[in-house]
Amino acid sequence: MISMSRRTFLKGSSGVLATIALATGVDMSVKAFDSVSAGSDTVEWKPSFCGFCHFPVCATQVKVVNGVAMEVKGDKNSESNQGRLCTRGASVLGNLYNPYRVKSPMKRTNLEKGIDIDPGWVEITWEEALDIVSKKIKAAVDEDPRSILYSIGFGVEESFMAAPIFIALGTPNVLETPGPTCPEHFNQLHLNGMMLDRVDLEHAKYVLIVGRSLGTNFALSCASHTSHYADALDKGIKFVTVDPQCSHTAQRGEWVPILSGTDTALGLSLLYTIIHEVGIFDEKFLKVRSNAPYLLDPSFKLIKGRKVYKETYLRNEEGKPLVWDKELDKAVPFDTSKGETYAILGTYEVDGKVVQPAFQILKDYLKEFTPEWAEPITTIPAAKIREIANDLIFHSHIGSTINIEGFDFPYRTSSVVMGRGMSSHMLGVEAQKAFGTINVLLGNLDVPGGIQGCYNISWDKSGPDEDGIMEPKGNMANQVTGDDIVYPPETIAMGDFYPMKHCATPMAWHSVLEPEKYHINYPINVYLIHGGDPVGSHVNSPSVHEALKKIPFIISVAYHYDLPTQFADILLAESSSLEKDSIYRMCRNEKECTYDTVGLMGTLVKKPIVKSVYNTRVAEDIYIDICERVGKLSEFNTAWNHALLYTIPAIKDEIPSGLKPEYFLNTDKKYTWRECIERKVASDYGPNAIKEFDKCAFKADRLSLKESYNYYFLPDNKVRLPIYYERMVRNGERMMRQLKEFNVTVPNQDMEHVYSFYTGLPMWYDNAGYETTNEYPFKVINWKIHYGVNSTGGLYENAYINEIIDYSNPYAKCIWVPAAAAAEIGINEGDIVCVESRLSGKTQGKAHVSELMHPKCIGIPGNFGRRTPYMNPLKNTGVHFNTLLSNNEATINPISMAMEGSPQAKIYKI
Amino acid sequence: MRYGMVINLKRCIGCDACAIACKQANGTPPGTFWSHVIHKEVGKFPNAKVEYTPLLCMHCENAPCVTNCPTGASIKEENGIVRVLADKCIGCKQCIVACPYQARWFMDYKAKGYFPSEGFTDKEKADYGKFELGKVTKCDFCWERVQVGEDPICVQICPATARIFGDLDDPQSEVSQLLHHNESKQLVPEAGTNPAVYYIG
Repeated sequence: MISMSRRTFLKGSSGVLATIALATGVDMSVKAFDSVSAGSDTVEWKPSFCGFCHFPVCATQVKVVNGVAMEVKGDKNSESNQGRLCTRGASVLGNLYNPYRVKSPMKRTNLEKGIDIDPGWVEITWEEALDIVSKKIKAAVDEDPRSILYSIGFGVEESFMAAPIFIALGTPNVLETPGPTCPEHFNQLHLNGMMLDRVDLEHAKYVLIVGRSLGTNFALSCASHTSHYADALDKGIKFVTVDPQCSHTAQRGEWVPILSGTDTALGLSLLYTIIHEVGIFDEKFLKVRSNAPYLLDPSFKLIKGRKVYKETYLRNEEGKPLVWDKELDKAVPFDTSKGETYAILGTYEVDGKVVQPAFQILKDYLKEFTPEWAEPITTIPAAKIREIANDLIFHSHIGSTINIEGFDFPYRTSSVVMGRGMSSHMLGVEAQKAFGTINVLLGNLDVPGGIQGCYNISWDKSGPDEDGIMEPKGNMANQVTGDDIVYPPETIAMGDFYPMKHCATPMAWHSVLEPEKYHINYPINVYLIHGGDPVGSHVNSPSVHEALKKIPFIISVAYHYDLPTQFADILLAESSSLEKDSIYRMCRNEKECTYDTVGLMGTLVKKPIVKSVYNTRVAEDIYIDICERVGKLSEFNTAWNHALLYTIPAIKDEIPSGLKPEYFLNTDKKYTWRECIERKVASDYGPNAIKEFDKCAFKADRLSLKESYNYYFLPDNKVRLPIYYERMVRNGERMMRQLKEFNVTVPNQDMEHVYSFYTGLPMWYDNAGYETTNEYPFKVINWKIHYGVNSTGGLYENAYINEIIDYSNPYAKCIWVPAAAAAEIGINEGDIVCVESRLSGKTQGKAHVSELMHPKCIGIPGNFGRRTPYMNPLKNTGVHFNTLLSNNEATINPISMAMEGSPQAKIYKI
Repeated sequence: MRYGMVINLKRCIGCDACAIACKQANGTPPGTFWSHVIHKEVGKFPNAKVEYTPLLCMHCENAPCVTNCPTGASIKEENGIVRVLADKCIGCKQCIVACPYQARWFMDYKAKGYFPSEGFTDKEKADYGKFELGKVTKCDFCWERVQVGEDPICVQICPATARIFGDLDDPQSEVSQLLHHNESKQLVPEAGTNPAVYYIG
């Protein structure tokens, strides 16, 4: 029996005892490893907050023993997460202690670039790195600031767009990496007046989930999302999940399998059923809170065989939209009265023109979209479509009210919650219009029980346009208001040609490869990438690689080695989550809420928990150094003072986006990022407030309950919501007029096809890419998994995350093949298979035969498989989905510019 | 006083936060999972789902690991927690054989750290010094936390608040109330171990 005087742990392989030589001169045979502690340990618990998801507001406490971070847990004193912490947050020590990180500034020595080519990295000093980088950037700024491209992504969720580097450098070429596969904000911007929404689980009774997750996957979060979801399951809220994959909500409620990309047909047939068969909907909402009564010429056009609605409101001489008042029996301006006497049905004559209320036009349009029509398209039985329509109405409580803190709200308890799974398709915006109109019929927008807008603008600051229709302000407002065409384009990603775009980034590479064709008349000199992967997260194709190779100088502010670093010239080693200073603003609990969190907002601040493990620096301090060296420090400071970005939004008037003048940065002085943060905190909360964050990283602020429901600020007809997207029609007309003035068309686009999408009602046409074909009999889909969303925090190379996936849930790294199809094709569990996309490339991996997939849908979960030989080997596992996507203009949605998220595909064994 | 846990399977979403929380807090090496979750697909399309069963030491009332331990290294404390005293463990693995729940883990000298070709990280160097070669380890209901009135880390951290910890002998405790009001089950009841971990939902 071995007798040991000290506890040891041995590392070895193949039966050979290996040892680690330590400074103390350890005996080679048994004591291979000595415990660090000798005598008493210094133990501290330090506050931080997690940055590993889309809602980085969970405060944590980290145990530091002798300067080493040893344990993380949720901070029970934080109102946001109340001590809970998810899989990702719990793995943060694997993010900190990761020997495959970029450990110091690196310089490429092999000038040949490629995914599988060794860059030949050598370590350099920070001085050399910053000198090289700053000279390149300065030259680019001097030649033309537009020649600098900047990509920022959710890899750094807690400091996403916090530091105004691109504003300081003066470049409009911000190629955000989030967005091209999640164009899911259109509906919220039109109907909630802001970019995000959430469902009120305090009062909801029936929730139809279409292409989104609640409580798990993307929505796994300890800032109460998951706990609220679990409470909802306990309470018996009925979740009906329309999804090609049987997600957790589908398993715990009801699963309605759908062929991916056909949600628009479901939405149209539900609208048909509610209006033409059930006949019950919130008429008062339609009359008082929507543009249903607004009069229009009911005629439509046929463009490419598609029925499109191009008419605009009938207006009086002052330009006000007209409605038909049934009591007065005449056409009057929309704001004549509250609207209860306005007609929503009928045909009327006004000044010799035959007109109808928008709702009549919608009703007539819907006649062909029966459940029987939708069944072969969606594969959902007509009876089920009818059942869902009836249940939505049955559970809606139309006509009810609830009093909250002395204010009477409409009370509506059924809703449709939509997400990117539904909207990243050719007809994805149409789906958002259709399901958005269902929410209007249910009367549930921004009232208890229904869908609440949440983000930086609440309805006390928002309001209607001159037609009385909701007009969002701030971030993403262009998706309603429409931008002007800019010609020649200022940006290379072609967004200047798409007025209502969401994210244009994947188009940038066309311009790099063929600048003349895409009207780019300036050079591209420098590309600065930070926390984003415009290859792996967008389109991983040879043409994208070629474009990146063409850019003369690429800098990556990098935590780890990834696909973009394969094309970079200099790596600026970034400090990790527990090594950095960050500030973040929580504006309303998104995705879902209860009374616990509906009005909860706040600010989070963290500072480094431990000294940097490697020779890394806080990214924002790197930016400040660069700005100083290129002579743009005052621009950086000015941008911070005035919060020219949306990421540190206002909480209330006293806590605005920017700094109060007495706390402004002196424009000529260089500050550390920590000092920038401290000034912001002092400006918001007073000079002593920063010390509070030494105890808990989250400082809460709450609205009253009634103020948390936006209807409180703009009740009744103070703002109206669209069922006919008239502003969109006008955006299209303006686009065409401006293109004609410039004598150009949208590059590489079929203009009839583009123009057809600017239609007032949800459009439908056959063969839009949602269908399967003989050669491509499947649709392939992706879903976010809770182990890592948006590739934030290097989670896909986190040792803990990978180990638990491999041990407990290895199917996450597989290609999910529906069981019946697998049997037919002869694919067995564990076979190596290839999935080929009609749009683009192919990807391969291990098959998982699953009963949880729609029979014609193949699933590739998560963000795995971004392979090069020159990265953390843990990342070289799993299957890469994005290789199947395309940035070809013919395949993107012409409104949002989103990529097709579910290509037609075939699968075979290899 | 008898500590126990109730796990609500209706609330559990199979996220594995408990597994990682335990691992990083206790510093267990690769391949050792004091807390982990079984994910099992059951059923046929379209009535299929994944069953999640979080597992850990059951801290049984009639613990076969205790009765089978030849040296008295496996003990049942007065508060019900079953622990392993490393100084007495001879690594005979009788307890591993006896445990119906595969809840015990042997410190094999062939085990490596998470980055075999890169050496141990600072955290690993500090963590692994706690473990002894050739001994058995397992979940101890976060013995040290419980001594100061905290819940085990897997309970604290659970995003879905699916795990409740407390005194099964106190009828007013949350665990007792949950068992009183809900149908519950224990795993492998035929083994007669009477686990202190119950599953509801």
